Amino acid sequence: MQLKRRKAGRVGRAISAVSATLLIATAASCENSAVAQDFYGLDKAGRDNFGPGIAYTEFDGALLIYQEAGGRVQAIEPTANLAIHGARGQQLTLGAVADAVSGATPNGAVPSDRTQTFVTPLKPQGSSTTVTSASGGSTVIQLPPTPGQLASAALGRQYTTAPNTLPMDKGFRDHRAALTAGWSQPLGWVSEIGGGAGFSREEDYQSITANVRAAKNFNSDNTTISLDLNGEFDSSFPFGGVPTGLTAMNAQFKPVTTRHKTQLGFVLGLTEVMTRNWLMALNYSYDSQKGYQTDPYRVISVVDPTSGEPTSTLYENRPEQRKSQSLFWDNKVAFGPTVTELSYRYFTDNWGISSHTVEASERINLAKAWYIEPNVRFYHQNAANFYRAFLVSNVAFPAYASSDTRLSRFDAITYGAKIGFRVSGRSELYVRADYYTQSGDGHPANAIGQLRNQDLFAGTKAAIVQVGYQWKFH
Amino acid sequence: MFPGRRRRLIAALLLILSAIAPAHAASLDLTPYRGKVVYLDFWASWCTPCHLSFPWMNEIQASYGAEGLVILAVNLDRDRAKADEFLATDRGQLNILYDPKGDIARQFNFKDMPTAILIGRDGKARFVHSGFEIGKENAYLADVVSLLHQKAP
Amino acid sequence: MKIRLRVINGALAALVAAAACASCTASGPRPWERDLMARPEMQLVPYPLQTAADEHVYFSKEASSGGRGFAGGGCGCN
Repeated sequence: MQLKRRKAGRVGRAISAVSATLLIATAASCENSAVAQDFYGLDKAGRDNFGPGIAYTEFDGALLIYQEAGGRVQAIEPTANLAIHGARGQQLTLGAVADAVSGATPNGAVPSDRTQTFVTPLKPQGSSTTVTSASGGSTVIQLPPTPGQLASAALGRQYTTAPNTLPMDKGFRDHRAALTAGWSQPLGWVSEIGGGAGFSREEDYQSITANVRAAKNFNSDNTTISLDLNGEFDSSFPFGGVPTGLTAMNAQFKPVTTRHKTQLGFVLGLTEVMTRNWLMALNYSYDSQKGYQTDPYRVISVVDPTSGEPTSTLYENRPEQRKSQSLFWDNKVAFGPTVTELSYRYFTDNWGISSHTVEASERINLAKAWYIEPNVRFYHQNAANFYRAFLVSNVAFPAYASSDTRLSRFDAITYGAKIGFRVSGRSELYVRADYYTQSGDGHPANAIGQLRNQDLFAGTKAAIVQVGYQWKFH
Repeated sequence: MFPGRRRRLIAALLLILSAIAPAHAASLDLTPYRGKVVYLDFWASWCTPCHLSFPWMNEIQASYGAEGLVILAVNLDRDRAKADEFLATDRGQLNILYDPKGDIARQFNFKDMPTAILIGRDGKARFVHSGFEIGKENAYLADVVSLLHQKAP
Repeated sequence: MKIRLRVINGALAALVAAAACASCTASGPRPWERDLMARPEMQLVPYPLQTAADEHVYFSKEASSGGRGFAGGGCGCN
């Protein structure tokens, strides 16, 4: 690279000599910048010396508390992550999650102006979630004998729902533990290559995941292209066995005990540093899921075509194939002491669902060691093509039907805020709280008879609180 | 064209102007370093590998300064205070140039941070070190030494 | 559904074209202008446990999931 040579000439040389001298001397910076104090200022004690080229370890711990309104689901989820960074861009990540979920969950049946009764298999004594007559509002009942039997020793669990109340199964309890591990490093001309695996197990579900990924930087590291290939193998072994879809809800143990589902997908990413202040990412994802995707505990009511009274309760049934795509566009802009994030995601699948998600947050660094970050999220989805709030007894049943609110048409808003505190140059404590509410049409046009007086939308309102700690060390 | 006294007047005027005017267009004049090997290092306080490069640069400046090695560490921080914080503990004995607007950096058109441009005794840029990785110090030093062994033109 | 697919396919084509052309012209800030990108809060996912918790909640309560990528940004050093 040739140096630019200044034109010869006494005046020219005089100027260049002066300017070089001025530069080398401790001349005051002329830049009249109003840049606020850098949040991660380099103090002598905790030098912010964590980044590329330096070996360090980062530990993250967090506790999530989730509570739905109306005595519904509550969950506690501690999580931990360890990331070990090598000096040459290598990274080993280990993660662990545990969660305990309990509370009442809508079983999928519609409310009625009469008392309703539901029966379900009884968990034997000695299992970790025995339901006794005193817990969960359920009672133990003797099941009627099967044809050819004189009497039955079999027991079932029965619960009732008061009139004009959303039917809920209160005996819902689950524990889950999951581990993940991942590795990534640069390799030759590939900026980053890596892979990972995960294992998750709860009382009635198991999930094994694996992924491989690669990324390449271009354009002075302003542009990054990435590809992640991922797969998942899930096993569902619901308590009481796997029911046959669209058959009557009952307390018998079903002959099929386990069903599986496999998923294959990829994420194609383009990340671009647009300007000094603005980072943009665009991701396209594709997923294909094959196998059992029904909720084995969820039911759907069959109602009388005139009165709208439930006449029977059937197990739901979902298709065994689901192909979905999404496009995610994320923007982060830094201005002085703030970082603004704005993202949009469009999702669509062959179940007829499409959704829009818009998220915005504004992080404001205050004083020397604090920051606040309010955030808001808007979500809209339309219903799956097999979503039905209920079935009608004089209409032929479709092949697939589910009354799960999660598959219905609804809007959701989350709003909340986060506060963080830099405990030292290498560790940070944060706490955040969000309020999440779903809203949908509880009085659809096709409601019949008494259903017109019921709220048929079973969406969630929940508080999400999380406390976390990040700690970096060499 | 200009007689002697006017030249001195113009030079003095320009001197005053450049002293009070904003320090635009930082420039780099390497002619004083002809015959020496110049290690031109571009760094910034937010560049974490730079924390590793400074101790090493101080080492080689001390070891090879007598043979004609000159290290010029060009700072690219927009905020001078951040550069000063970094230098408070890491500077050692290095020569620091300030290029807050990137005028000097732009002339060299490099693609990584930090970047060191090794300029031989003839004034021509011979090697470019993109990034600073621990474990590669011997390779970096080999380039420096090979330039030191070349004779001045 | 067909229009949706077309939109998605169009966006994908644009993404691939942009990717293919990424090194056609130098764009974006110079390497020494990455000071703001070097800030930890400017990473794409600076708080992985918080992001994971949100994704878990929304995956459990909504029909859509996923979407995020993993690489890019940062100071671009080394």
